[in-house]
Amino acid sequence: MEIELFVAIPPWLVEVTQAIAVITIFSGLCGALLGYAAVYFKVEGDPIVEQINAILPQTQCGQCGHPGCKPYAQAIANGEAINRCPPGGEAGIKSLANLLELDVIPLNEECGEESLPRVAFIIEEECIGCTKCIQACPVDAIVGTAKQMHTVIVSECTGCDLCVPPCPVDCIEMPFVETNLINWRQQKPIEQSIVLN
Amino acid sequence: MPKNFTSTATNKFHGGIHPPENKLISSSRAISKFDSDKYFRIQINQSSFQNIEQAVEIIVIKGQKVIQGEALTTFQPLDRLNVPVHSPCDGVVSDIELFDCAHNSSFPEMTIVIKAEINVDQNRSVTKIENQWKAKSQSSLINKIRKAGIVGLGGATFPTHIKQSSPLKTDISTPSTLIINAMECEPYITCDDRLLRGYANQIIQGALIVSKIVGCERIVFAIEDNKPEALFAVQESINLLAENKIDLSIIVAPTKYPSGGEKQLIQIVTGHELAKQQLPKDLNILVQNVATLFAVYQAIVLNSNLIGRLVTITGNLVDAPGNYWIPFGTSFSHIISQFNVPEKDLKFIIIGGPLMGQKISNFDISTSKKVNCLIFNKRVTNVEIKECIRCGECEAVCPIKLLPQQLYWFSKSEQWKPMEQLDLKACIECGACDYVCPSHIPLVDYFRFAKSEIKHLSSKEKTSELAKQRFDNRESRLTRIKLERKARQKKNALDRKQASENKSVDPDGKKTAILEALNRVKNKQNNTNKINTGITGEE
Amino acid sequence: MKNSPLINSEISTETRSTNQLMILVCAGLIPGAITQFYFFGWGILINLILCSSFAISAEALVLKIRSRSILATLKDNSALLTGLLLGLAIPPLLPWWMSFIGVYFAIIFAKHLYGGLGYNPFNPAMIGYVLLLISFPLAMTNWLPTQELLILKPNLIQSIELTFLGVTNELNNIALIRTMADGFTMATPLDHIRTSLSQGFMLSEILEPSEQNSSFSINSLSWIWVNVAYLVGGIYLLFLKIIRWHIPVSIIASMIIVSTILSIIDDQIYLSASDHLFYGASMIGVFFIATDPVSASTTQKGRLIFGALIGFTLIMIRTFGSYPDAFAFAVILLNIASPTIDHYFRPKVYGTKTTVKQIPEKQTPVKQIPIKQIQENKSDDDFKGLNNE
Ligand code: SF4
Ligand code: SF4
Ligand code: SF4
Ligand code: SF4
Repeated sequence: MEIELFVAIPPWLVEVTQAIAVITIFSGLCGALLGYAAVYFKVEGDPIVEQINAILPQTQCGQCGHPGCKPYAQAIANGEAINRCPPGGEAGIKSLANLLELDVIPLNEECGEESLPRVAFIIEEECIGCTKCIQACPVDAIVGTAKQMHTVIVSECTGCDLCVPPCPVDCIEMPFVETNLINWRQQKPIEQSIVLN
Repeated sequence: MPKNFTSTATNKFHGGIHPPENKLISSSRAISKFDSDKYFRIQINQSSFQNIEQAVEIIVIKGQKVIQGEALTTFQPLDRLNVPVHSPCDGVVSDIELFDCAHNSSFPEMTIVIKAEINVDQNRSVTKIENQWKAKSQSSLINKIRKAGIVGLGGATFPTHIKQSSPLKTDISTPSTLIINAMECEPYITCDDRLLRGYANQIIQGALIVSKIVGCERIVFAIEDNKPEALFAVQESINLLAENKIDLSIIVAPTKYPSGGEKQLIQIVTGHELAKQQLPKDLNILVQNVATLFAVYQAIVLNSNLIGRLVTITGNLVDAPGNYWIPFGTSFSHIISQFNVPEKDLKFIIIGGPLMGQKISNFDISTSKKVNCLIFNKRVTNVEIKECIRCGECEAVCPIKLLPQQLYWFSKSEQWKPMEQLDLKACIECGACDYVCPSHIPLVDYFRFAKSEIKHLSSKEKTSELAKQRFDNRESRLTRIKLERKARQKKNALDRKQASENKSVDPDGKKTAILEALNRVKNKQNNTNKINTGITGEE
Repeated sequence: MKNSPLINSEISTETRSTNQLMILVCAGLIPGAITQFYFFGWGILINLILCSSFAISAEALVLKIRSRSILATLKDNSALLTGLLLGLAIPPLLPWWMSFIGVYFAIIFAKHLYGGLGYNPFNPAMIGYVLLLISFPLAMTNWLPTQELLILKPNLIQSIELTFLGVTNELNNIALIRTMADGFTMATPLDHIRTSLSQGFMLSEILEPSEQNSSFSINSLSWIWVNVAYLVGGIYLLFLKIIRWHIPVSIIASMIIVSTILSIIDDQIYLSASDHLFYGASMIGVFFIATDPVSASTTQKGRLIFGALIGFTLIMIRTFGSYPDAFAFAVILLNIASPTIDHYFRPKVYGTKTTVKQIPEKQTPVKQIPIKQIQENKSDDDFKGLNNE
């Protein structure tokens, strides 16, 4: 009875079934292995937003169109272009592209230009103590209280420029950070072999 | 004193080179007289912490009369690094100005110009304190050394008082050792050699002083075998020493550059390598250069401040190469005229040795504590820089066992991460790799460049991390304030409502008054809590 | 300009420059080249001249295209060396256009497409050789037997004609010369041994001097002399410290070890170490090709591994592969591996040694500084890195 039934099945079907069974079992095993590996070797990484945020320069200037670097990091994670941060400049774009496996693109000029680092300076004689700049500063780098002279904590100022517009008496300047003996950097040696004919 | 206290070194370091010594040019002439200039330009910061902002206070004013050895600057007692500088002559402060001071960046530094005059009272009596030092406390000796302005005179100008301020422990099984560095491994330089030949007794005295300060069990005098006269002088003076408690021995090492580097010297003498985080003192070792020890002797025994040093003047353009006592602040142009160096052949001066030294083409710069040798050479034809052929010679000679060739590739392509993995930081910039490179690649320049970039990046990272924290704090503070304000408004509205309801039930207002009082107290408590959290939140 | 004063002080001229290194290596080839010339005739000389002039012209051409300074770069002599090596590796009387293709490919593709001297991952000469070997297997295995065995020895003019035209009036073509050699058809000894082995002969039969194979022993003797000459040149390089000992020594050692093991297994099938060392391109390969610094491993330990693997691969291909001599393949294969080798065989940087040597006097180990203490010393971190004084 059974044999008859067996014979009734065409041989090609048996082969195909066998093949399918083998492949299914094999792929099932592989899948299980991969799944296990994924759990076992799980790398506890920073969430992607944190990683992006770590690359952004934290100037918090808002030139990217976001109120600070973290929101922009969030936006990049959601698919926004990576070329909107002028303070980060080319190097920043490069490392973002590296992290997110994207192409390197030039800086979006609408956002601004990469410039040398600056630091805010309050002309203290002119300051009227209106506290407007304190409210604007994203990193609390200005100290002072109402009707008192204000001043910038140079080491904490990111040079974001945000305190300049609110000042009613225009007493905040943004000079470039001076190179001195401490932040001076060594020149790259010239490759002489590149000298053209 | 045991008879055979001299032994040959049994340990050696990896690699090393044998450049032509060129020492005979200057070592064959005894120390001779040098006619000083009228003007001296003293750089106010002459220790190796040039690029760390330190409060060096100038205590003279323009026009003030100063006497030889008078301190021109002072230091804050709290700040551990600075050492003062002193006037090299009797005279008048004629200027205090920024001037080029041979820093690699060519940024000017603050200098004090002194015009020599002989009209100041000459009858100063020098109070020799001779053997009194034995009775003095260690801290007072260290203070004296610091006040005398002593820094490492082997070229690194590291403040000596800091090195000596940590006493060597004797409980650890390594014997605490003072190593006297008389290797002088760089070509051309002979000032230590000549100093030893003339002043071996004083140097040994200086070593005894230092050994008292740091409390060490033994003193090892390390010298290369290319200075037999100096070695003899030291042996003589050790023989002269009266019975001594301390174990004083001499180690003669084969001539090999850079055996005078601190790490290499320790390796030669003890066979130990300093682990990455270690300083010599962790192995109970203090290394001092002979010129430094001589300065210590001068300061402690002769009571005189450091105002000059023995400088090797050498090179094929000098008419009388040799070693001279040159006061700090003497301008190079004065030296050029003193030694009849033909100006038209001289394109630059080399300060220090050809391997670790520095090239200077501004001749108005003056000598300072780091200048132990000046080389006036005719410019040789420029060698061409070729591509690296990966010959591996550089690796073979690197005393730190780095891979200069791979570091070079990474530095060229500005990849800093792999460079850090290859231990760029451990490079002592000895220039041995530079010397052997057949393609004449300026390897050390590349390493310096990479080091400075890496430093820059890490400082940038630090500031951005700080900014991030401050931004986050501010954000959270703002949202908290907003939430609180909202909550307060809600509550006030509720209170008002309740009050109006209560009024109807509580006609004489007693209940309301009690409630209000309670609320006030509660609010107050809440507020103080808020203020507290506010402060902690911001920090 | 170099910041460090080294380059401008006299002492920098004391060390050998790259240019000098390359020309000295070329000089080291002289004994081998003369011996080859003596045994194999004018063809060798023509090859050398052709290949080196092709190499120099190719280099000049590429430099022109890359708009680099031609004269300054040609002075480094690396192109000359490539040309000479290839000229010595290819069989005499090879048609000129084959040498042309080999050399131009070597210089343009194997060297300059990667960025020129110092950037090429492979030894250019060997790439050129392998290209020729794969493209023109017949011509490339057409080594003439030694002069002694030739009935008709081509003179200079005839050699030139053969190289450029393939025929001469008197001698017809090169194949004819080969067949007219006294009963001897196969090319190099290794080739001959290989063919005979595949025909079922025992090694003892092949190598034994007898009536039948007298021509073989004459021919193989000439190859032994050539190898000895290269050995002499190589020792001269070692003596002048132009090359370091690591690669040659490790190749030779591993060749000896591997072939000895094989011949212990069966000395009738597997050649002995001395045969391996003195037949074929062994010595020129060991001293002149594998030691090319650009494409070899650079660390000292790495070089030992690199050489050992070359020796191993060489014997393996010679014994089990389909080419009688395989120096080019072995070198190229290991060139591919050398970055990896370098990565894994870095020297231990100063201060990473975990065990501290003991001081002889007291024989007590240094106490490890406890972590707490290191942290306490943190404030002094600024002072490390000071090396002098
Ligand atoms: S543009 Fe300004 S706010 Fe935006 S990511 Fe860059 S630094 Fe941050
Ligand atoms: S002080 Fe001005 S420039 Fe500096 S961080 Fe604050 S807002 Fe920006
Ligand atoms: S300069 Fe640095 S890399 Fe070069 S040999 Fe000296 S320690 Fe090694
Ligand atoms: S010595 Fe010069 S050419 Fe040789 S590997 Fe080092 S860097 Fe390259």
